[in-house]
Amino acid sequence: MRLPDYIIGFGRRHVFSSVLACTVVVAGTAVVLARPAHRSSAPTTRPAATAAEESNSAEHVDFDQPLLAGRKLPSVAEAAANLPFRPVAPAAAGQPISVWIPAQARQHLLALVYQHPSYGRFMVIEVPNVGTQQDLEGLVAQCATGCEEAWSLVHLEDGSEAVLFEGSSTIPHETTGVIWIHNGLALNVLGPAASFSRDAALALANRFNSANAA
Amino acid sequence: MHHRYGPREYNSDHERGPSAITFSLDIPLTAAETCARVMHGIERRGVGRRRNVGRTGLTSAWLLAVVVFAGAVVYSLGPGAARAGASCTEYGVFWQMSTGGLLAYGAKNEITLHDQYADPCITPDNDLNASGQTARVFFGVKGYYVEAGWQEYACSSGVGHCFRSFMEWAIGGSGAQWRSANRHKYPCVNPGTQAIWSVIGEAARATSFDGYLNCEDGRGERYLTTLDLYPYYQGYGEGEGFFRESSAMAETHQNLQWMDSARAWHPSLDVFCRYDTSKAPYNWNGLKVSATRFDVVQNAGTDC
Repeated sequence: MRLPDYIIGFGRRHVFSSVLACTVVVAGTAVVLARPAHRSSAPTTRPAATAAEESNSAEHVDFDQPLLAGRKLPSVAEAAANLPFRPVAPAAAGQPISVWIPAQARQHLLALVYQHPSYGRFMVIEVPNVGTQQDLEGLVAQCATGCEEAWSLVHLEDGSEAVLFEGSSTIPHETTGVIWIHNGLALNVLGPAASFSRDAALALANRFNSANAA
Repeated sequence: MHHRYGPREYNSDHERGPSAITFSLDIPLTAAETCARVMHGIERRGVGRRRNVGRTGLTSAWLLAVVVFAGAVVYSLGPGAARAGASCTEYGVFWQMSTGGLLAYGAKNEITLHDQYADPCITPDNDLNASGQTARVFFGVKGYYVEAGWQEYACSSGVGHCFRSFMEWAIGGSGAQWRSANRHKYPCVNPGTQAIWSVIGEAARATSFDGYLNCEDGRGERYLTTLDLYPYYQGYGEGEGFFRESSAMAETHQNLQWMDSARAWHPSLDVFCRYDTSKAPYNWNGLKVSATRFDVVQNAGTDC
């Protein structure tokens, strides 16, 4: 293809400058074109995520400040004075790094956050039991299909039936934990699935269950 | 209200085709030729004038070239680049009803619906949702909730956008039952409409929550499903907007109501931001319109 004479003439007079300047403009254009599209329904070259790679909730468990507008208390004993039930905090689990109750006194709930040398970060939530063993097991029944984690029934060391949920260690924000009923409380121990195993959850559930029974 | 397409009535099974944007390989050549023409124009304007006029022309050309290049770099590496390269993460804003200190056992929101889909990371295969809105009860522990609402997704045919109801729960943040169970298509769940979504704790079995959809079409409440939230049964009435990556979520939540322990419904006394994961560069927020209404808006409203 022959370029127009006016371009050839211009190029001859300012060969270096014009080539360099044009190169800069073309490079800029290329940079823009190489940039992935957004706010468009057009397909891009970036591979689509799969459901197994993404969290499907915009809200996640917070292992630092677990409650909405929670009151952070200095000790479990202080929490006990503000709750209508006796908190369960076995010495075998270590000292919680933070103790939380809801700011709204009408809601009776306790969250204990731990940083354990073997189990890492985990949390225990304690609430008065409202419901039945059948309600507890209903969690597993409704997760027969379609739940993100694997939900199953397990037996604690005292023979009581508990619910175990196991999250994926690769999906962000998933958790692993155990829920069970004992002595008028519903207890839930859980930790980040990436660092908190099924065995850790069961071991801690047994420790809390023993302490509660004591 | 922001939506990419004008609303029109259509059944949920119908689909809206994506607008294709194509890039031609001859664009760089066109840019080069344009550049040469610009240079030539500057040269021509210098003909017959003094030599320093020609130099001024070349300086201007250089200035133009540098500005174009710098602009391209800023555009590519700025906030938009972070958006373009982000994962398919779900973000949301959560606004809560004030109840005068009482706990809620149910929540009811009238929510609008528009086509908000603009997300390259959503495909029929990955089964993710692009955008949606819910009425929900939050149980006070972050990641513990039950909700009902609508979501937008890539149609299974591979063409266009579809809408469906869903009901979801979470204990431990991610027990959410978001897959095929508890999702339904209703002809009335369409762009340009609004509907009343509610989650209601059962009287006889407090930790069981029923979901309902009222399309305001004279057919009353449509029962969605019942979910077990043991041992949780009381909390805070909320409205949520969510999206992934480049999709949007501009909608209205109005006539907000919460249910007390005696199963009586009350209008919200106020609304406020409870939780917001949509930070820069997306920056979606809630905007309080009244004690019983908030809008989900971008680059306005109140963050928290």
